[in-house]
This record gives sequence, structure tokens and C-alpha cells, in this order.
Amino acid sequence: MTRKRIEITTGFVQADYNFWVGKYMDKFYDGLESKQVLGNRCPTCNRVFVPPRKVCGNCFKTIDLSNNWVKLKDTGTLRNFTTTRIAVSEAGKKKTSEAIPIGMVQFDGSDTSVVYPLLDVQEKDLTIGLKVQVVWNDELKGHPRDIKGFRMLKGGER
Amino acid sequence: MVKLEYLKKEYEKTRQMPGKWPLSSYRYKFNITHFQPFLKALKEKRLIGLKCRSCNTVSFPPKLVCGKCLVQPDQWVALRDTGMVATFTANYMKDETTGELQSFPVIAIQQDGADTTFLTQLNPAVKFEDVYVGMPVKVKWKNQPEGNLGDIEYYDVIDDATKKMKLQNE
Amino acid sequence: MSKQQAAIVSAGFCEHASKRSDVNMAEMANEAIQDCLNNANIEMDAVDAIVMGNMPAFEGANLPELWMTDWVGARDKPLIRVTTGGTTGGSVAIAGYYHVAAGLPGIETVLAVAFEQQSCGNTSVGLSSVALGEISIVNALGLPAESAMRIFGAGAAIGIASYQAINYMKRSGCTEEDLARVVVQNRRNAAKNWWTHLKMPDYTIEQVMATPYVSYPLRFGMVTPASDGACAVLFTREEIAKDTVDIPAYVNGVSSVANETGIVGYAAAGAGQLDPCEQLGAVESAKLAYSQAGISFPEKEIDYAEVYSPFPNQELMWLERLGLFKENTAHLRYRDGTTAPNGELPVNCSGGVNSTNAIGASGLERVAEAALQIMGKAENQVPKTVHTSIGHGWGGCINFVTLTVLSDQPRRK
Repeated sequence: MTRKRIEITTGFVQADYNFWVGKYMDKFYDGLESKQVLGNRCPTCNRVFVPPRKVCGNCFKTIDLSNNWVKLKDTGTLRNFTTTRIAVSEAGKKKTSEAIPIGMVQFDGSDTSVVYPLLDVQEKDLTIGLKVQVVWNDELKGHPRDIKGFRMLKGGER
Repeated sequence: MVKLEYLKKEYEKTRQMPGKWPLSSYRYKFNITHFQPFLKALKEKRLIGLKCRSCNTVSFPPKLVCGKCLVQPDQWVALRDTGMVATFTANYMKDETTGELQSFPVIAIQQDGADTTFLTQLNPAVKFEDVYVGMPVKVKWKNQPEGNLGDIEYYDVIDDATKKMKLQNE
Repeated sequence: MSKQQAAIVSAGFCEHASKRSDVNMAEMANEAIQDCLNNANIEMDAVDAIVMGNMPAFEGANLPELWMTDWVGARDKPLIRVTTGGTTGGSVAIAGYYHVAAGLPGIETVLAVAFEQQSCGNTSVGLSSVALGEISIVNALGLPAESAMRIFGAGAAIGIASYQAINYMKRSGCTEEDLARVVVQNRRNAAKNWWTHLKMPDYTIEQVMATPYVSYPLRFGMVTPASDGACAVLFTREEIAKDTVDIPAYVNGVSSVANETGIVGYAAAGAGQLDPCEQLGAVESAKLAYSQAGISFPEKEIDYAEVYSPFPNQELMWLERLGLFKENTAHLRYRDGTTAPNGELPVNCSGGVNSTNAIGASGLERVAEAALQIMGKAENQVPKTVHTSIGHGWGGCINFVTLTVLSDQPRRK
């Protein structure tokens, strides 16, 4: 017996969410607003987390909110990279005409990495270990996008 | 809206990051082979239910798989156009023009001869206060049925014969 | 590898509220875990595996088990997430139990954590996401969109509860005041616990009856809240349990039973359950769990019950289906004080789901409170000695039921 199916789309519902960031991330975003990268340090194992967090995964100890803060420089090292043709934003995702390089950057003095676009650079010039620096957005709102991306430091080779 | 007083503690408000889930991007696929005879009968103003040979339960509207036996039922049986209200509640919608809250009774009907219930609505003139479990109802067909679920426009209330019955100790 | 007797040795909570705006979801779950471990004086090193659960549609953050590992202590440990609708918490408890009961080498102590941060999203969207597929399908099959929305949009969770209330009131003859009485008892109980949401120590039946109807016969004053919160429970083997606490809560019976859906069917078919307050799933799961635990007369042998009742009529219904009271008499037991904290069979001394409802966590909180009453560590501890208690969960499309039977003695071999 042949099976007939119906395929339909729903057009009427979209769910909107708003995620509370918590006190540690709130302080991090406060820092971004004044162009300061903040992290916090686990007092037991001395690991530094950027962005900061309440719990050290290694020790399962709570990192006290009032101290253990570390001010970091805006430079770092490129730990990994790739390119993508899909731009993701709040509006959804779309295909771009040019490939965008993105990479994992470890801030100097931290033990974690963040993922951001790599600006003004061709894929062929990328290697692991390059020194990079934050490029701030013109408008600072206390939002992850306050960091627009990272640029390669000139004369900063391995 | 009424506010309830309770022992509340205030918490520091941190930032919020927005996100969204576009439920409109889903495409639902489903099987309707078992539905075709049912829709065809609706067009002819007939009601048919699907009976499972293994346990004799009749489902209306038809189910693809019998919930008790997990086999595909394949015997069609004719059903009368009367049924009863199995359960009900009210849905409140805001009137677009006046802004006032109106209540619509929403009912689950068990068609006579069937063993399942399904959600539908009553004649808009019926008042919510008059609805009760066990109330007998009858199908009101659309003037020109097209062979889809909209052919059952709503259900009319019919005379409840049990109300006239006298109990022995009365 | 052999079957082990499992026991609960600790339970922890975070503060529940309508908006925990000071923490993100990972931090919130961590609070409950810290409380649980502190109560037992156990470090995360002693935990061998983690089970977690929540309902993703409510806070819109998918697959939390993938990114919450550091906050729940899962570094270098096995982790699994379980989700089954409203019974998520109950299933998390049962999964925690099986991890220990299975007797796998190296898996002796298991942490179960369940949570929900509903203020991040929209509860009615989360609940109606269940019906969304149905609405689209019946619309495609010819029902006009407006009718479809009107019929299926009838109040989501409260709509289901009102269907059950109508049928229950007809069967048992209970009145609206009886429903209000259940709510008042629950909310006053909630005021005696530190972690609950709607603490109302002076709530009265008149105040409940003065609020307007939301969905007949349920009034605004009877409705369950939407809470942010988390709960964590520690399961371990019998030998370790005896060294950790004076009175462990042994898990003697577990069951989870699914039934055909009620009210809403699939692909425009009808619903198999004719009477939504019949709840055969509860009767079945009670039979299974009681026989595992060696209970033949639940009315006499169970000392304390935590049932999952967001709405008061459901509390009455569950107590009957689970065999604790005779058919159609549960409302009388509230009138005569049997279910009060100092009564013969206290019910929901934590305030129940009617006072605190972080959906993913609610099922686990019932098991946690049932365990705490046996251990003698509940904040609203009942005066009588609790030897056997039950923690119950309900959800899905009115068709899932989970049941856990706990006791202060291990199961008779």
C-alpha cells in the first residue's frame, strides 16, 4: 500500500528567550564596557578563567565573587582557526560570499580560550601560535560583541 | 490581573542575553493513508470509525496504530451522528474589538460507538453554564462538505432522554 | 556485578523564586548540588556518576548536559541527561537509583540533579509546543486555524487540570471549597520550608474563593506558579549509606508507566483515555512499585506521601489512584485533618508542586522530600516517625506517571 504524506510548515509561532547571565558574567560585561578584559582565578589550582566562572571544573570549588579577579591584557595567542561561509547572528544564519576566518584565542595569562572572528587576514597567512590583539567595537554595550574580533600583531611571529 | 501576596525575596538583577527559537522552521510530516476513507465519508456526511480486530476498540477519528495492541486497525464501522460530552472546559479569548474576555466552551466528544475522545466545539449559542459531562450532542454538518475536518462545523445539543427517566426511589 | 540495595543519603535545594535573576542556569544547578553535598559531608570526589534532567523548551537552552559539565561536577565522570516531560524529576531519581542498583564496578555513589530556570523563557510557549504539531496538522486537514488555536489552545496545563477537575468533582461530589482547602494546606506548609516559592503562612479558603476563575472550576488562587529552581539528591549503596547517615532512605520500589495520551491525540486522531481522571498509569505504577517494596496495604503501610499535584483536584485524585485513600473519599481526609502534618497520613509537607513548580525539578523534589522525612531531616518534619514514604511524579500528555517507594529498612530479600 503506498503511503501518502502531507508536508506542511507552521507559520505562526516564535519563542523568545532571555537568559540571565549571573553575577560573574555581569562583572565581565561591565569590564568589556570599559575595554577591560576580566578573568577570575581558582584559589586552589590557580587556573585563570576567561570569561570568569563560579565553579572551577577541575577542583569543584566555588570561586568567591568578591576577590580572585584578574585584569588581563588585550593580547593573546591564536590556538586554533578555521574559515566559514556561514554568518550567524541574532537574525539567523546566512551564507556569505567570502569565507570568514574565525579562531580560538587564549588571552595572555589565562587558561581558557574564546572564539571570535579574525580580522583583516587571509586564511593562508594563519598559523597556530600567532600573536593577536582585541579590536573593540565602536559602540560598547556590555555584550559579547563589544569585542569585534582579533587582529594579527605586526612583527609578532612565533 | 490579581496579585497574590506571599513572602518574597528580591534577587539582584543581572544582565539578560536574548535568544529565539523559530518554531516556524519545522516541517511536520505525517501519514494519512488511514485517514482517506474517513475524509471521503465526511464529504458524504457519514461518520466512520476504525476498529482494531484484536481488541475491538473503535477509534474516531481513526488512529494509525491501536494504542492497546500496537497493530494497525483496518476495519471500518459506521457510526451514528450522536455522541456525548466526555469532558469540557472553557477557553478565554480576548475579543479583538472590545478587548473583553470571552469564554468559549471546549469539549471532548465521545462519538456513540467509538472508544476515543477528540476535542471540538459546540454550537456558539450554547452557554458554558449549561454544559455537563454526559450531555448528548449531535453533529452539525457544514452546508457543503469538502472532505476535510472542517465539515463538522460544530455539535448541537439534543434532548437528554435520561432527564425524563424516573429513578426507582423517587 | 550484582544487584545492589540503593539508598538516598542527602538532598539539597537552591532557593526557588519566580525570577532567580542573580544566577545563570549552570550556577543555579550548582547551588543545589553544593547544598546536597554539604548536607552529607561528602566531597565531589566521592561521586562516581551524575544524572541530570530538565525540560529544554522552557528556557530555550538545548542539550545542557553538553555544556554544564563543570558546574555539575562531571569532569572525568560518566554523565547522562534524562527528560520525560513533567516526570523528568521522577525519571532522574529512578535513573540515579538504577545506576547504583545495577552494581556496576566503580559506580557506587551517584548524584542526581534536576533544574529549570523558567524565567528565561515563556512557560505557555513551552507547554503549548507539545500541541503545536497537532494544531498544524489539523489545520492542514481542513480545520480553520482560528478554531484550531481556540480548541487546542485551551489553557495548556491548566486546561488539562480543569478537564480532570470536572470529572473528579462529578465522581466524588467534592466542592470548590474542598479544592481551596487543599491549596491552603499546601501553601501554609510551603511557608515552613526555606527553599519554596509561594510561602503563604496566612492563606485562607475565603481568599482563594475570592479570586476569579482562570479555567472553570479552577481559580487564580489555586494555580501553580512557574518557578526557577534546582534540586539534587545523592544515591549510594547500602554499606556506604549506613556510614554516612543515621537513617538512610532505602529505595525499595520504583516504577514508571506510560499510558495512551489523554485529550490531545496524534495526527488528528482522538485520545485513547476516555476519562482523564481515571489515570490507569498511576494505578499500574502503584501496583508495580508496591509489590517491589513488599507493600500489600498501602493505606496502612505508607506513613507519608509527596504527590505531584500542580492543581488541588489532582492531589485528591492521586491519593486515591495510588491506593492511599478509598475512591471518592480523599476530600474528606482533608476535612478531618488526616493529611495535615500532625495527621495520620501527612501529604506534601513541602508545599507540593502547587507552591513551587520548577518543572524539571518538581518530580525530583517529591522524592527528595519523601526521603528527608524518613531521614528525619526535613524542615517541616512531621511529628510521627516515618517508616515508609512515596514520591510521585506525573506529566507528559497526561499519561506519564513515576513512583518511588522509600523506607527506613532495606527491601526484604
